[in-house]
Amino acid sequence: MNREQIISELKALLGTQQKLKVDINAINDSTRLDQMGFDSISILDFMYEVESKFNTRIEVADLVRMEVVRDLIDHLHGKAAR
Amino acid sequence: MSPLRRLYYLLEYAAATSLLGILAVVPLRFALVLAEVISRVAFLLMFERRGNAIDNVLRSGLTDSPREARRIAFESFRNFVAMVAEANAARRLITESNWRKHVTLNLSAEVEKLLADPKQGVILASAHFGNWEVVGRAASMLKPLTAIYRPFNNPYLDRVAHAGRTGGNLRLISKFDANPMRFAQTLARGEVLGIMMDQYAGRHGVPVQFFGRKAWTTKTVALLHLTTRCPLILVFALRTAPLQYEVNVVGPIQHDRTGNRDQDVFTITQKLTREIENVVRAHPEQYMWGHRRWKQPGSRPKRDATQ
Repeated sequence: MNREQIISELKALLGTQQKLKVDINAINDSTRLDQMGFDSISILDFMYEVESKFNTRIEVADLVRMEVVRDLIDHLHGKAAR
Repeated sequence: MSPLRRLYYLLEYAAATSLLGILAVVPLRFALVLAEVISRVAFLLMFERRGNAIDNVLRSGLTDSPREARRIAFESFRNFVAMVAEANAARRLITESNWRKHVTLNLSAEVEKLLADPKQGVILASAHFGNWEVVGRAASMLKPLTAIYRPFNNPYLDRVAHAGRTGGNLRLISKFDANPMRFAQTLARGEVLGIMMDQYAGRHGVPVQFFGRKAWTTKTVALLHLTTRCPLILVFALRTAPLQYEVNVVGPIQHDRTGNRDQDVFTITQKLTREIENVVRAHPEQYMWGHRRWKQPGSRPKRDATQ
């Protein structure tokens, strides 16, 4: 899966999140994860869905290092490439 | 904030700090006598809480006798006030060097190993049973602990409560803190993340059975476990005598994902709630019955059962 496909899938998942404050179409690589309107539960919900969708596992140490959407894409892209 | 509300909060703050100040300096025996008086007065005057507590005991099916329900509700009030008095005294009386004289820890070898591993984050769930303040303090003696708490509506009181409940390895973070990653950050640091999970969680919760009735319960514990895969333990501190506690631990609970998130969340939350129920059944007088555990989303406040 390439980066464009990953971001497209992520946007589709984000579209299912009801609490988001940002316009899905305005999300780009540098959108901060903590500025998207997630609360402590919805971020967990979202990460669960990301792991299921991409059939991957995000360790908690990796999760807390992610600051912007690019970090998440890099992580998923890196896993997909392996 | 309106001037009237501010005045009310300041009066509440003055009363609480005066009382806590007295409790902090007098000998424990005297503090407990004072706590006994306060609990009797509170049980008499706080008719809505009292009504909720009696009603909840009856609804739990633990007894069908209103007299026995009233006794359990009163004991619950006594336990709560004694807990506040003892938690206040514990700050000066229970130290890093003597805490094992006050707290008997019943841990499995597996849990001991988890708590001894500085890199392993642990999710600690608990309930309003026995002395839950001691749960946090005892666990923080073994491993740094951050507890999620709901701030008081009264900001002055909240500042005092926050300052009094933290220190050493024990920190608090508000459930309303804006950083969505804060729970994961605590676990990533290899600390314990403490969460109370037995209060009404509203429509964002999951409806599990508690004493055979639907109780809307927070999903956070289950979701944290499923997402971070950190081990999950359920901890209770049974009060056995003044400033003496027996800390019992259920778990570690490990639930592997089935692919159905909602079902996984339900299964974990129900399992933990069943364990809470078992402990409450064994010691109903040490449970905080005053909150409306079986409230349904959208329901209106219920009339006082004692009226």
